This record gives sequence, structure tokens and C-alpha cells, in this order.
Amino acid sequence: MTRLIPILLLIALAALPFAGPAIPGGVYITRLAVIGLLYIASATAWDLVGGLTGQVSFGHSAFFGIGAYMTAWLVGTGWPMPLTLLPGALLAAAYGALWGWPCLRLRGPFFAIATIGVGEATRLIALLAEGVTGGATGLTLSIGGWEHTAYYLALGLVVVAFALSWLVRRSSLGLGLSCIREDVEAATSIGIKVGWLQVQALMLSAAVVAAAGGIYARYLYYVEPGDVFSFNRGIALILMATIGGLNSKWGPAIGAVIFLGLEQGLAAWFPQGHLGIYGLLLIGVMLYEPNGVVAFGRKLRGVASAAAR
Amino acid sequence: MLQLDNVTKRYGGLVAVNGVSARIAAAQTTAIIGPNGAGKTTLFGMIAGAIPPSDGRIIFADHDITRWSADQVCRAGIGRTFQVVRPFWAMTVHDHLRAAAAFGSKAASRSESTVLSDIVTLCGLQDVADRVALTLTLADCRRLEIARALATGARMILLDETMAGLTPEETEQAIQLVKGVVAAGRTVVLIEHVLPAVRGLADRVIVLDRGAVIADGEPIEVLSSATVKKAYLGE
Repeated sequence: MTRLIPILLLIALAALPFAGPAIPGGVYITRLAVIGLLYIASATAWDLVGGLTGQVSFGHSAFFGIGAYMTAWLVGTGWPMPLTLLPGALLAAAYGALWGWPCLRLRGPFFAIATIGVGEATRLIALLAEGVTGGATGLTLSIGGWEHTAYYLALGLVVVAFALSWLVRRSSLGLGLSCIREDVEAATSIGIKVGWLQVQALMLSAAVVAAAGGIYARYLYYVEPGDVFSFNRGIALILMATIGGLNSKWGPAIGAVIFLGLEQGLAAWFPQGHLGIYGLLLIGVMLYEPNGVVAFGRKLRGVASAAAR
Repeated sequence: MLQLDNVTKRYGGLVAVNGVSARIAAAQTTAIIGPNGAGKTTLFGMIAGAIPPSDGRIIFADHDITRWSADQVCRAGIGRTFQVVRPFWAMTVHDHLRAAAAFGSKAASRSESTVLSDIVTLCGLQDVADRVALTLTLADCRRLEIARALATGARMILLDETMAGLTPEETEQAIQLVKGVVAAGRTVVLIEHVLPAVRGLADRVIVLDRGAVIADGEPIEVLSSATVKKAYLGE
């Protein structure tokens, strides 16, 4: 039965754009779902580095922005939109390798701080390179008729992200990354190339997040450095994965849905203060259930089945 | 098999290991003993590639491994354990061995599940194979580290105080395990403070004191020599 849930969920999501106009609020929900699917794919991909490898990255906003801009440029030169995702993903992976190679030598807070620098530097460069990125004005894409394509591309990306996460965790790459997360020195003592394995994880993760950025650009018809490269995008991924449950199959996806709900509610009520509320939520999760909502759910189920007996 | 030429490690003005030279033959068990701070673990770290030597050369199986990184040294065929145990805490015993076999020396890349289950049996880990390291006792963690080193396919195993903190019964089991490792054709180098274990296991004993070799030879003669007694017990 529980095995059927993902399949039923996927069918329901695939039907949503058609059912949308028929249900009250359905069009709004469908529009929101595109963003939600992109969050789910990105958070699941972020978790390969932040959860599985244990290296918390604030710099994934750089990949999102690169993907968004690549799609904006290539669509402008007449490329079919879905094809633009591939060069975006490749460029982001290469960019990840470029800064990952030196930064992934650092661990814990030192790596995290380095990635803040990378993310912010990338945003500032994008903001200043007006000739390429349009600066603070951004770039506008041709308008019209992309909602459905964007929706299905986003849904497809979720499937890709889950498949990638599953494959990595089953492969010797995933095994090696787990060793690195647990103890770097012990990992090198069994022959693991610590630097190269972590770079691979970062590249895979970057490619998915960049594709999410590309779909986002096409969906919004507009890219601007202050949005697609924003620091908040990097933080959002950390919040989603941590609230949902680091290094777990469903955790980042569940966290992404919770985050989207909070974002919609809180941003309307507290336009200035909603990030502060995420902070409080994060502190709550860290203090009371460091393994996230998924672990909390597992405990509840344990209590329920114990009570039933 | 392993040749140390004038291996030296300096930390600023402090000389932790001072011009150690030795040859270690294959299929022998060599014990390195000496008082605390003699430089035993630093010497191990240099052989394993975890600490770069300040001076000297380390040759393993005709390769100059002096400047190799720890993962390269492992893939060349040297496995190690740690003085303070460092398992992958959240991972199962079985996953430790799978990882070691996947990333260890090239000779081990074909090591299939039968080889791994032999190692599990040799190390007495059958009952805990599916448990995560966090739930194991210290003695189990020590055996796990030996199993992990073996699973890399290492021809030479460096054991750093494998018996420290064990009960007499566990120590006896550990001695039997090391004998089993030797019987399986691996060369063992061990650092040990438990002298009865050294007598029972070692073909040869090297004594370090303040970073330098002060005795080297058969266990019986070395352990009874006046210099060694003085280094260990004082005047």
C-alpha cells in the first residue's frame, strides 16, 4: 500500500493542470505547484551534498541563477526551451567543480562560510555584468503559452531528482559519501578520494538545481540577479531539507512542501518578518527533532502502533 | 616489504620521530613499543600517508610512498586502524566492509561477498553485521576497524593499540584475531603497550624512545634488555 502512494501522487500531479480549471482555486494551485515541484527537486538535489555528504552549502543559489540565465539567453537566440536546460545544467556542474574543488577541503562551518562567499560573489558579479545579465533590470523572455510545459518539465525534474538521489545512494559513490560524512580521515584510510567524490556530488546536485532555475525562468518570463541569485534561495534549500529531514528519501520533499505553505501564508501576513519565522522554525527543529519532520512522523507512527497493541 | 630510511618528523623545534630506519619483511609480525610520546603513532601516521614526513624516505613494495596521500597509500596495499577508534558511526558493520572493498586497493576490487563474509567471520562480527557502529562495544569497534582495514585488500595492516582498554578476556580474543590475520597471509605491524600480547604475537620488536630506535630484534632479547627496561621503567 505505502509503495503505491508515490505512484498515485505522481498520477494526481500529472492530472492537475487539466483538472485545475474545474476545481475552485485550481488554477492558483497549479501555478503554485510549479514552484513547489521546483522546490522539491532542488531540495532533494541539495540533500546529496548537505545531507548525504554532510556539507551544508549556502551557495546553491549560484547554480539556480546560472540555470535561469542560461535558459533566458538561449531562448532569446531561438533555442527550443527544454533543450536549454542541458547546457545550463552542464555549466552549473562545471561551476560547482570550479569552486567545489578548493572549498570542499573545508568541513562543517568553514565550508558553509566559504559557500556564503561563493553565492554572494556570484550574485554581485551577475549584478555588475549588466551587458550579460541585464544588471538590476534583468532580462525578459518572450511571453505566452508555457505554463503547461513548465509544469510538466518541473514534474519531470522531480522524477529525475528522486531517481538520481536513489541511484547515488545505492552506488559506491553514495557509500563513499556516507563515509566522508561520518569521518574524513577514516574515509581516506580506506582509499576514498575525498576531494573527487565530494566534487561529483556537488556537480550532480548543481545540475538539477540549475535545471530548476531554467524552468523557473521560462515560467516567470523574467530573470533578475536579485531574484535568481538571491541569498534567500540558498537558505531556503537548507531550511527545506533540514525541516523535512536531512539525508532521507522523503525529508527534503516534505520540507519543500511545508516551506512553500509557510511562504505563501507568512509572506502575506508578515512581508518583512517571514524569514525570521523560518529561523525560529529551524531552531525548533534542531532542538527537538534534529532528524526533521520525517523522523517525527516515524516516532508518531511508533507511538500509534504501540498504543494499538 | 616496507623500508624506512631515516624517517623524521619535526614539529617546529620538537622532533617527534628522529631518523628511524628499519626494514619490515613480508608475512612477519612486527611490534613497535615504547613509552608514551616516543613517536610510535606519528611514525604510523607517516607510513599511512596521514602525516607528511619532514625528512627521509618510505618505500613500500618498490614504490617510494613518502609523499603519497593516505588514500593512495591505502590503494597501494596498506590498511590501518586508529589509536582512538574512528568507525563510521551511523553506518552498519556490513557497509563499512562494502565501502572498504569498493575503494581499497586494486587487488581487492574483485573481492566479492564471500571474501567479506570470511572477514566478518574472522573478526567475530557475525552477530553485529547489520548493526550501526554507534551501538557497538569498544571491543567490537576495534574488531570492526581491523575488519575494515582487511576489507580494503591491504597486504600490510597497521594496528595502533588494538588491545588498549580491553578486558583480559577481550585482549585474549584480540590476540587470537591478530594471529588469524597473520595466518591469512597479511603482514602485521602493531603498536602495543600490552607486553604479554607483544611476546605472544611479535616475530620482532622495535623499541622507540624519544623518537629514536633504541632496540630492534627478537622479542625475548629486546624485552629483557637493560636499555629497554630503563626507557620504560626509569632507573
